[in-house]
Amino acid sequence: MNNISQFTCPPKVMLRSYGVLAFSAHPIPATLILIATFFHPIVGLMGVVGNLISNITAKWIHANKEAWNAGVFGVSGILIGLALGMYTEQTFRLWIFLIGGSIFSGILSVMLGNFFSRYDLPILSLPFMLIIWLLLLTIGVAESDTLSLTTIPFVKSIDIWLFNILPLTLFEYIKMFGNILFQENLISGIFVLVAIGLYSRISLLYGLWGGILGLITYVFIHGSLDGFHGLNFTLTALAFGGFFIVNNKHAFIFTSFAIVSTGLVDLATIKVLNAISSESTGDLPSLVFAFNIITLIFLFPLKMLPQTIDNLRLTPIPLYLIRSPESNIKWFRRWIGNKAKQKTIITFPFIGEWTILQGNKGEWTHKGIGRYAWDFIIRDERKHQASGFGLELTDFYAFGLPVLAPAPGTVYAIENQIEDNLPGEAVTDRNWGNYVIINHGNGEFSELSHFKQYSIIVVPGQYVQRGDIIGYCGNSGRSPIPHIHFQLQTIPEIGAPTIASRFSEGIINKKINVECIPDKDDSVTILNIESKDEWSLLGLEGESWIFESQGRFGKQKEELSFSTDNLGLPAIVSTDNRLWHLIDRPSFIEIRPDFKTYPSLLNNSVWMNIIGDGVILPKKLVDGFKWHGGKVYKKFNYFIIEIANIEFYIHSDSGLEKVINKKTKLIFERIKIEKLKR
Amino acid sequence: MELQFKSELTISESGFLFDHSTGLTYTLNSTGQFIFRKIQDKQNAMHILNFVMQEFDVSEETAHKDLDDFVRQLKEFDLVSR
Amino acid sequence: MTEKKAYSKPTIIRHSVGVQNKFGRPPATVPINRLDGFEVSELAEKYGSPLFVLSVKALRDRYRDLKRAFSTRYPNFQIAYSYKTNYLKSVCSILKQEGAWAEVVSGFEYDIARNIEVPGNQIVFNGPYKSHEELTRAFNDGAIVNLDNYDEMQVVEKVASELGKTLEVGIRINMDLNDPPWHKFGFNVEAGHAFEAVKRAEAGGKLKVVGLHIHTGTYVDDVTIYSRAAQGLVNFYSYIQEQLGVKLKYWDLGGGYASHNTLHGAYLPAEQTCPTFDQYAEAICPILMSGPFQAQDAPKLFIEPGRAIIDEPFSLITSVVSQKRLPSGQRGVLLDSGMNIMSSVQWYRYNFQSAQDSGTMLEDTIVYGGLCMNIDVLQASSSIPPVRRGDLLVIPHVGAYNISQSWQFIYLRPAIIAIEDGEVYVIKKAETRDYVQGFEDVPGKFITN
Repeated sequence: MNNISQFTCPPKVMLRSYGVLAFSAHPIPATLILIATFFHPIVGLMGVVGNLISNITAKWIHANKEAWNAGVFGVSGILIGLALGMYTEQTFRLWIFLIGGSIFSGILSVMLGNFFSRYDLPILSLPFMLIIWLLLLTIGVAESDTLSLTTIPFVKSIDIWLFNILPLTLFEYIKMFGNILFQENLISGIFVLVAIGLYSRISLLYGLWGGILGLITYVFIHGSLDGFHGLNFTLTALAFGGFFIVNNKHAFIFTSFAIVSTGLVDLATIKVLNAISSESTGDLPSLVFAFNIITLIFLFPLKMLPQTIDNLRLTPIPLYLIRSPESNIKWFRRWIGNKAKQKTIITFPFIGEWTILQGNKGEWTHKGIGRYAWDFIIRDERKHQASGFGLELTDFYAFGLPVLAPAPGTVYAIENQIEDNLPGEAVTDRNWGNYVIINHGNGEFSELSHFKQYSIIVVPGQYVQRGDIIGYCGNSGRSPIPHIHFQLQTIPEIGAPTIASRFSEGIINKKINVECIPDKDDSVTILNIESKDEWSLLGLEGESWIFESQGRFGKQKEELSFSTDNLGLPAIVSTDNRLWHLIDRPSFIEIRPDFKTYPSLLNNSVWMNIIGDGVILPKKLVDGFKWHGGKVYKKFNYFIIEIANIEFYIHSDSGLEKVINKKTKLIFERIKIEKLKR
Repeated sequence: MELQFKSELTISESGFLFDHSTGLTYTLNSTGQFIFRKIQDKQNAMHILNFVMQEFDVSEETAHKDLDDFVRQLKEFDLVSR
Repeated sequence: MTEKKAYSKPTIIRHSVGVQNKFGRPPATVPINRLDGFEVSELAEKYGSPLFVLSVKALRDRYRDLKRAFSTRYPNFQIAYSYKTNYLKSVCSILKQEGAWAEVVSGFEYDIARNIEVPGNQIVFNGPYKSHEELTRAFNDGAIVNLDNYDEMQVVEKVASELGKTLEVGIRINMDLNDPPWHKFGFNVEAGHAFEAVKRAEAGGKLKVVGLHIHTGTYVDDVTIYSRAAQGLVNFYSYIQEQLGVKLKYWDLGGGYASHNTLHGAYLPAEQTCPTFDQYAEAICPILMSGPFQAQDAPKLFIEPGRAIIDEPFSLITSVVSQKRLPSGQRGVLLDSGMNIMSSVQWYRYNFQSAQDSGTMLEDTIVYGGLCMNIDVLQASSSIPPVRRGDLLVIPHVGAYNISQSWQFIYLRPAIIAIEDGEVYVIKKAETRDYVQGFEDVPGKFITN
């Protein structure tokens, strides 16, 4: 580890710190904020220095990597720089205070961050508040009229021009947004508003509402607009306006309460500060104290009681991953996606015959959002799970057996380090133990858990085929006896809600089922199909299907028949011997290009599930494929595939060829069944 | 035919037999112990047979054969002499 | 008059001092007086002695355990039961019922399989001597045939010409795995013969190599030998796939799995040394899974167990005929069974367990078989409680080779019964003189008036 790298901070992280000020994670708003701080160039520079030093300090003391990358630890540094620049006289020793303060800010941010993360609370700009008051008390706030800030002349003139043309209230209203950066000019207000609103309408509206409600509150309490600072109001509005909580009408009411409360706290703060201010210290500004306090106080009960408050929902992803209220709503919809219908075709994730311990809606741990999950064990003839007395893990038949990928996809995350419990014991803090999460590329994820310690043989990013061994069954996590836990879910987080899932063809209690939803105590196994028998199970061996397409020029026919190729793999052959390959089995027809020729298509395969209700095709393809959505209907004996604007390109040596033209409605009807002779 | 023990033998309640002269030890089952005690009492073979039939639920034929075998064994082990 | 005491034969046992019994095994003191719920004495009375008894439940359990151990570790697995171990029709039928294929090594055994309606394509035909007719029949039936030597390969090529089609065959290979290595069967891998054989088979144009067969030994209780065999198979497959483009449909690891009978000279009893089915599976399957194929195209894995499945379920009920005291002082007991029906005493130290409560006093005994041959000794030294003529003994784990290798010598061979679900079935009647001499015809010339 290079010593130098400990003391660097990539520009994008610094930029992100600016974005945090406007509750935005995107680079463009962050840039706008950055530019706005430079309206008073020296102040802007102080902001940059504060940012850099805080971030580096935080990195140096090993701040949480992901939070650091999101720019969280630079925020207070920026604010210290801006505040010092705006409120005190420019001297040489000011810069010493800036550097010292930024270092403290970095350390304090990490300290508070570690402490707050236990309650999953954000640190906001609390470190800034604690440090800036100390600094200002020490240095002394300068009189606003003695403060001579160099401003970019351009800014100044536009400001004056706007002052003249806009009504005063509006001028003050927009200027209020610039207060976030401690600035008192309209332009920065506009910059801030644009930064907020660029990627989120909701945030913008809440910000504006915060300003209005803040004004009303202030006038109501104070009596007049005198000395109005809208800073805390807008920040509180932005925090609760769909950022930390998901936006809905209850959130709106809640936010409004928070805004009003902020006003009260702010006024109180000012009174207190006035009391302790003196000639030497100058007038200490209340800055963003009220916002920090109110946000934390209002957020804390929500975090502590997340399940019981039904209408107010916390954003269901880690703090540093929050992007905008709009994306929160999207995540939230996916979070409660137990109404989601299964899209992935899954097969049993093991070899041989296993028994269901808990199925969907099982009694013990499968409840609530986790209820559509499966637990598999092995029982012998005597209904025992182990030989002998089952005192050792190795007595259990299931322990150490291969676990397979239930569907093709990319490995999203793994955990491989956790120890296996002794039989009968189960830890409850790392519930899932060793786990693998697989991304199937269609918005669904498989989660398999309780693997044996160090037994997982795939790594994140690796592509797995259906049936590939991904690890070995163990007894880690909340598992008293060795078993495989499997669930299908909508987001790739541990403990995410499950989707009702059913397995495709398999054998339940020795009977073949085309679709499997086994019950507790059923014994199940994958249908073991040998290549040339593959078709016979569904009655398709040697059969051919004739596809009729109705185009502008009348009917066109295509005959596809099922056989095996010279490697013994099942294949689909069209009438003039263009070979289509089958790669992902089970024996539902899933046609994929031969991946030897198109390795880049691995994650973007074109495959059609003809037996089923959906056509599963990726949105962005390479090499000439385009897909604009479509549907497959199954009706008794025939399938209708309705596709608009699709172009299939299939090359003759690899088995892909252009099939239809755009804007054609295809009706695939099973007209006759023929047995082919080989 | 009288039977006589050749050397100093001590037998315990549980049928554990110790030969002082050779230092060897033996185990007898309950029937064996019964017969042993009768020999100690200087009974002759015919009488022992009657005793056994009185004491145990056994036919004469079986008892006779088994007794012969037992005595043969005692002689094998060099515990009795004629 | 007091009640008479219960009688047991008087015994005196001398305690041996000094050297421990070198086998150090706890003596078998527990009497077996019931088999599968039936009193041994009743069975002997009704069906005679000696009597072979098959516990059908034990057989099904052994099969299912073996199947579970392997089928949960390898996706395409099939047991082919080694008929030569015990080819009783009932045994083969029960195993067929459980899903086993048949592994046969002669036309005779092939016939047995077909006779109980094992489909032709569920037969694995091995062995160093297969005749032209047998091979033709096998290929017509779709059986799996593993070739042992070049002469056989030539015959099969001829069959291919006659049938007018390319025949799919397996090649029997051997590796230097144990000491001494088995070189009698198949082609040796290390010397390069196996590769040459595959090459020659493919080059002839009439055959297609789709399988490999290896059989490491008999009563192999060291699972690492199987691991090495599996690794050797994987390496060999990779080589022939790369060099010759061979794609295997199956590989056959043969038999040799141990049972719970203890070999002569073994230091520890088999209960402690016999690996479990899971241990065998764990030693074999993960290695095979690393072969050059995708999991969905794994070649079918055959194993050919014999004694591992069939030894334990069989017991022999036998009666004590006489007993004596040898000059050495050792007790001798003579039974009505002999090596004619217990030929595997040549390899195993069997337990002889009393079927009645004969007490717990065990004595070192030499067990004689009933044949009028001095070599007919079933066990030179065994700890047996006191018994007398007419007492019954039970010898457990006798299913492998004793029946199929039995001699029709001096005595007629005994009946065989099977017990399942509280019912007794006579699966083979005791032989009669008529049956044994049924094929004899005495020319009149040999009969004087």
